[in-house]
Amino acid sequence: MKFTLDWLKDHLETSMDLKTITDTLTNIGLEIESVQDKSEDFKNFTVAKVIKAEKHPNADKLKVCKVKTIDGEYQVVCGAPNAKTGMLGIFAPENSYIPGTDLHLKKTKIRGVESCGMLVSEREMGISDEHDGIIEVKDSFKVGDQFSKIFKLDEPIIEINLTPNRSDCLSVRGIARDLAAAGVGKLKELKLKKIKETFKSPMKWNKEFKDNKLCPGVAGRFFKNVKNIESPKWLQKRLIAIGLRPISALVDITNYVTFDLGRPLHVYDADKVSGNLTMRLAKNNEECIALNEENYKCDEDMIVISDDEKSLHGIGGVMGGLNSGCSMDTKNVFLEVALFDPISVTKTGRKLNLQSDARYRFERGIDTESIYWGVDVASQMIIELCGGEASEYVSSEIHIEQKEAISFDTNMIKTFGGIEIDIKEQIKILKSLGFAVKELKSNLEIKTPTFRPDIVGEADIVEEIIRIYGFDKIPLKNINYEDDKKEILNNSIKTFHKIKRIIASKGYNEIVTWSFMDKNKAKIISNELIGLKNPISSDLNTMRPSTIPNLLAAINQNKARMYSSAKIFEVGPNFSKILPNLQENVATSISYGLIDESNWLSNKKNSDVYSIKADLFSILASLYVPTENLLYEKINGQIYHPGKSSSLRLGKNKIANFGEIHPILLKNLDITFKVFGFEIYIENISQFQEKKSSSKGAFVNNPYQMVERDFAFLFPSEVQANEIINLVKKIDKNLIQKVTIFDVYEGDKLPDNKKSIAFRVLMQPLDKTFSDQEIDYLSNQIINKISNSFEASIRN
Amino acid sequence: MALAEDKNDILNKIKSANSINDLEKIRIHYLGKKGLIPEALKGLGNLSIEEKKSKGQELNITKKLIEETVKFQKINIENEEIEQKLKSESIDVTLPPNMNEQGKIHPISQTIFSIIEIFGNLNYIVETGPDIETDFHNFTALNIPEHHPAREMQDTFYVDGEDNNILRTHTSPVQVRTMLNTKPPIKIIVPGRTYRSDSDATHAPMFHQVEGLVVNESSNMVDLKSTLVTFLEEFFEVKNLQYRFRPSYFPFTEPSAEMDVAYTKVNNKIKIGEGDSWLEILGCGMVNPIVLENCNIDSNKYQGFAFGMGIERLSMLKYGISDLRSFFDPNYRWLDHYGFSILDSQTRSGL
Repeated sequence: MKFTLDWLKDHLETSMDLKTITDTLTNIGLEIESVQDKSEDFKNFTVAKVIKAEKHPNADKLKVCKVKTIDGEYQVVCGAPNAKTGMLGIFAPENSYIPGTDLHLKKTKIRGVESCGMLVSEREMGISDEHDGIIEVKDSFKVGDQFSKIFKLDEPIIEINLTPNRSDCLSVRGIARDLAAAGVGKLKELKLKKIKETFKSPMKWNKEFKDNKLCPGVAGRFFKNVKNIESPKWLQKRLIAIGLRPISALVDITNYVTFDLGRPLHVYDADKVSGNLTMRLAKNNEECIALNEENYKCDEDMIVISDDEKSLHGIGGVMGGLNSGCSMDTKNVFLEVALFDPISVTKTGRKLNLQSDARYRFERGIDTESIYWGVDVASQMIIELCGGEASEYVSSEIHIEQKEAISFDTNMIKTFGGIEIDIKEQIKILKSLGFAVKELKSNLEIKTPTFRPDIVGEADIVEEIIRIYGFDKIPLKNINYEDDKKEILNNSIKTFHKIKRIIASKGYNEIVTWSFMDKNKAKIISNELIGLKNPISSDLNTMRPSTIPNLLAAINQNKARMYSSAKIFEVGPNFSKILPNLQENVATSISYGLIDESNWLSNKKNSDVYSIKADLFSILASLYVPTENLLYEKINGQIYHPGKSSSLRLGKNKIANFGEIHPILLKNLDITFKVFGFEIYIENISQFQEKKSSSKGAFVNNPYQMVERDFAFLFPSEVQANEIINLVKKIDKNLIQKVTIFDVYEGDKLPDNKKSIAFRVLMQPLDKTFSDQEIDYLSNQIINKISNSFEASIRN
Repeated sequence: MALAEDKNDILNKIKSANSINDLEKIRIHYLGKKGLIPEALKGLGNLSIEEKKSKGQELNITKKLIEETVKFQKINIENEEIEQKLKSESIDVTLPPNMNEQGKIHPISQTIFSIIEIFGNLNYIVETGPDIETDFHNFTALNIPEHHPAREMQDTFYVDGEDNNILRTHTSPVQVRTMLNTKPPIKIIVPGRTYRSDSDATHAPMFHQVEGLVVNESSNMVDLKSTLVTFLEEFFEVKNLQYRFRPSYFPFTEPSAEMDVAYTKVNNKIKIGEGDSWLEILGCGMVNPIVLENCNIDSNKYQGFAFGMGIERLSMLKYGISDLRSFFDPNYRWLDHYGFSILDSQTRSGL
């Protein structure tokens, strides 16, 4: 919402300066967006005196003028017929910006004569279309006076960032009222002259609705013999200042009243309407050409204005019709001052995708009383500017619902707001905002003004009183909370955040990517996609079923920055139709290229399935996941290489996946080398975060000598290391402490479909040193069990 | 046979030996099976008891002395040999090492960690909720009916399907979920992802918010304002923060307020806490009684406050990051520059 300072002062009597006014606006909830001072733009343009004006030696229509300015004398070549010796004009020095022509003025030679600066016309200054001659100012001004002062262009333009509840402040008067309440001045009385009603209106306003709420009423007047003219300068200037284009007096009046008093109006050229006008719901596909020259197809939920011939002349509360719009030739005018249901106007505007200053106000709610005073304000301006005669007030039936009074407990200022404001002060504030207040025994009975549809309950009253009193007067206190100390994070949220630091400790950098991705790529991974109806772009049209593609996308983005290896991760949601809540939180990492920094010392080893598995297991162990109990399960899908990956489970719960990324997925993302990744399911590991007592069990120092024995077997190729380790451990869980695989060999020197695996077993006696027999017994058990279970043969 | 030599001569002989070999020869000469000392000891058998005693003692002292000196000289010789060897063993210590760098934490996470730490110390607990929300939780329960103009303040992403689900436009639906599921007193913060269909230099289609909600029998605007000032002073690590607490509008709070913090820009760097310019930093207010009732909480008995702020904005201001979009662009150099060491945590002790 924009307005100028002088416009505000039409409604507000105040001696406060601009800063006090703008600071107060922000403090009472009408936040200042900007304050524009046009005098700054015009500061180069000053009054200058033409000392001498002579004919140009080489051109008949040009004059060479000697000009006295505040900065000394200049020679200016000028084509204006009114340039003459002794006149006062407006001088633009060289290098200044000429707003009307959008040019920067340069020193130049015109037909061989040097010209330094110029004497400007009104059009060149952008204040009118006048270009027959240069600006002449009265003798009472003197050389050096500011152009902006003389033409009153120094009015600051104030813009407020208005919240959607304050429809009353979509008018300059509403803003003035709030300022007056806040002590910045006095709200001037709105003076309405009695309109001379000289004839009976030949047109009537009708409405046809089952539900009167849709259009509680419509009123207006008929004006005959008006003369539509260009609006007076003051009116044009105000409209221009707030960014509107002056059109003609009749149209400008409707715009002016919209912004001045928050009352949208419409004026019909009565000669282009057949019979009376009726507000009604449109028929399906009924067409209306609006003032913006677009043809709109309406439907049964939209309010339209129709004449007796069934032609449409406007879309209610949104925009008037083109065919009956007022032109410079308009002689007879019919005025519309209507009330509409905000929801209906919102729906219509959204469906037609049509915004307007009228819609903006109607959907936020306007003063219901304006159906009476709005007609008079508009009538007065039309008669004043365009002459003619006014008919009597005409209206449809009017059905305005009265709002119930609010019973307000004045103690709420203390209990809700935390501050003490005297009851007298509370009442004073409310009255200055237009509320009618009756003091009862224990509370106030408050009637809300008709221009405040946003006020519905006691909490709103608290806000009104405190915002005018001053939010800055709310004191601070020491917040030493004594409430129960609870666990700040539950296990799942704790895991979600804690895992980030743990993964980073393994050399992975955290990234954050969109929760959405390209459907074409997501399709490769999942059939249970969740799409977006209105994506921001086609490559972000589906909720990601996995974070891996987003991480992979980083690879090529960083190629140009000379990164050929990296470890990155993200912790966030993945989405699928089949998940509860449609999502699950997953920590996802990828690793590619050299593990070490590539330098003289590095072992030049690339990431592989086992390096990423090492990271994964170390991370899981840091989160207290019992990694030794994890069960391996084959992954089917398009994310991982089917032979070089595994899923890890504990009971029913999926804990993690890891492996080489599927070559087809990589190919789809234009990645030409191997990438490895893992995913950890946050919710399924959070149970291990359960806080245990911080004291640990006693340390038992077992003094008996440990024994190591190495074994090497030839196994069938399909035997998996994990099976071997588990089997050995099972032989004696107490004595066998650790099983380490220290060599794996598959190759030419072995028979087909065989591999050699060597492992070391660490045995720890419990209560006495092992005897040779005991060691042999254990060793033999291992050999027998392995040989029998896997068709393996021991190697010597 | 007598040991003719003077003790000191023997010791000097040992001390001047400069190889293990020489030393061994000397040792054998005196202490070997047939060395001078054992021989001399054998010779004592012919002496009288008293002479035996005094001579024997003397010989044993000499023997011990020789033994110790040999041992000592052996260490000297060995050390000397090591010293000699080391002279030829020098490497280029300026060659760069192979560093196993740790990864870094994204500034969004770092900011969330700080926020959780500060509010955790004020006894708030952390709650979360789903990103895909129902219209009821995201709008209706929060007093934003279908055709309310406030819905136009938020450009909503709609999810495919007949359920009319949306991507949450703010973290406030978690307020609703919490109030529906638990009884007051409630004291939570809610960090998380949020979505709006808006994308330009200063808007991202996905961003993060943190929401706060307190519901009990007495919390009022003094508590609200004090809590937020305390938080901002802790978060930005400034004392006597200059701020504006001014009226605003949100459908789910009444009264509503916004908070601006003062800042100065020096050499393109923003300093928070003082100055003539204002930066809007958060929205807040007393929970609208309509919202409490929508969540089955008796608004005659309970009241409270709520607040919400953008995590990227807080992060940009605190860490001097100028471009919102850069948070979501996986540029490794940017991540390295703005990322945080895993040991970099904002605790009061600094540990």
